[in-house]
Amino acid sequence: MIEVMKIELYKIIKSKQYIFLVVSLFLFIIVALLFMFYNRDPNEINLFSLIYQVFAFNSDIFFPTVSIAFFSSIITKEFQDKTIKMVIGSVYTRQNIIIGKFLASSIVFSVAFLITVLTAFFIAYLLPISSIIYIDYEQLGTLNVFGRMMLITLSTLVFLISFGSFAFLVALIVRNQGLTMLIAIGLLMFYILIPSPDWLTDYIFIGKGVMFYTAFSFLEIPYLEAIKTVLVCILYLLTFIICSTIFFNRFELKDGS
Amino acid sequence: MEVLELIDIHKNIKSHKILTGINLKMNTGEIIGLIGSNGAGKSTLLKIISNLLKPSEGEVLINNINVHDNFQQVANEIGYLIEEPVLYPYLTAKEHLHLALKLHGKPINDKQINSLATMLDITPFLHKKTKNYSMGMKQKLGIACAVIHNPDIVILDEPTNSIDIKGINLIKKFILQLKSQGKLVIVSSHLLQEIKNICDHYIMIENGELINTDSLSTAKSQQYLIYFKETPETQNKLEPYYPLHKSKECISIEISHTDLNSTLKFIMDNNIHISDIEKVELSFENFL
Repeated sequence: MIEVMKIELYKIIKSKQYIFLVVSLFLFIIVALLFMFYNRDPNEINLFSLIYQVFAFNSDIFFPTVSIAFFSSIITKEFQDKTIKMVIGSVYTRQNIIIGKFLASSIVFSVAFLITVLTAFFIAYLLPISSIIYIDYEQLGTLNVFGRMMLITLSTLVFLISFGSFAFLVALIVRNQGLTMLIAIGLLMFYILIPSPDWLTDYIFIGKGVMFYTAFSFLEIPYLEAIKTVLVCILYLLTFIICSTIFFNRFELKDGS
Repeated sequence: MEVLELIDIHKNIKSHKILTGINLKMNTGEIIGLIGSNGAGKSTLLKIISNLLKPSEGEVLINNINVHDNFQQVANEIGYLIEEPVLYPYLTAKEHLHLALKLHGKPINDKQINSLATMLDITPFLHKKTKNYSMGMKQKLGIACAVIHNPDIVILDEPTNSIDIKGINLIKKFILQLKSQGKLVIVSSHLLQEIKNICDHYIMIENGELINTDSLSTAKSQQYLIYFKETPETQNKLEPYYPLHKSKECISIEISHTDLNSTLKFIMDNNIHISDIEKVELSFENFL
């Protein structure tokens, strides 16, 4: 599996697919920062509020869209270029191929996400751009703020990778980038426009982005709720990957493809 | 040595029968020509051997190991180029060959890569990205990727597609080299002309069924036309036994390789004078 992961990392880096990822993440963060810059309170520079708002701006639609596009492209490009023939003729099992591909994609996504988010905040801090809302930064203390920043970033990352695993499965089934985007983003929009009943909300991973930046902005962080939400995302992630391996094991090329 | 065995292979897609009851045994050190018209089922059969498709019924055994149950055990024994070369546009030829080795769990061996590149005449393009390659170059690189891990069985589906005459000769020479290394090479083509002379046996598929391979093997490029001066005596002697073709001042008979000895004996016994013997160039259509 490690060997497959290395091969996939090599392919992602060589194909420069990460450039699209970094650029689109950076673009969405910059748009959020510009929005705050033009609506700021000139007397208030509050780093935590800034973090909160960048995630509030992007976590519902934009970040998941980037995740869907990136993870699905890893699969659909192989089918589009028919290079999947080369991959499945290898000595590695199909299960290893799918897990290796997913791990490599997750590593690239995580690195790109962390680098863009942290760079953007650093730029915002230097400029300085302030938030349009106020969260009591002084009361929290600098170390506490940085800790919360990291928790929001990491938990959102888990949420986005679970979204990626969903896109991964859909891409394997439909083998078409446009259709995968349509299905995954359609589901996202459906959830946003028609929220699920309360009893179901806890068990659906789609809208969980909002949970993280909200939870970590409370003075008393609801750790149990946050951990439960992260676990729901991980559970979905594992389910989607298991389904992907089962589906790929049964996969055979269509005649003429 | 028997390396590949196909046992009662059937392939149905929905209610459509693509392949019906294919049974074959193939040995190392042979070149097998798989011929058939477009849509006859050649590529489907090759995909089943390569584990890209699963048969609806039957088994493919490589060294007595079932390909579809234990592909990883035989993945290094098989190399294929099916339908068209599959290449990553952002990688160079050398990077492709590195990748092919890694995918087969083999160490990178630049000496082996350079030697293969020389044989297939891709050395000048080794460091160029494949997105700029011509179809012929892609085809040669596809063949290189199929054999870089040194498999026992090499499957080449229409390997001479989009390749010029010089390239076709180079590929034929390369295929013969693979044979001399003891590999089983299965070459498919819808043009018999392209693969004749290099194949040891031919397998013909039409409408998903195997046509008698033995008769086809014997028949390969071995039809003969025997010409005689048109005299009433010659005509009387031949007519009861052979269908005669008449042309300007001569008559001819068409015979297969298997009948050649007996026919020549008949001609000698009857003291008939032969004007000329011509070996007939068979095309794929001759078999249909």
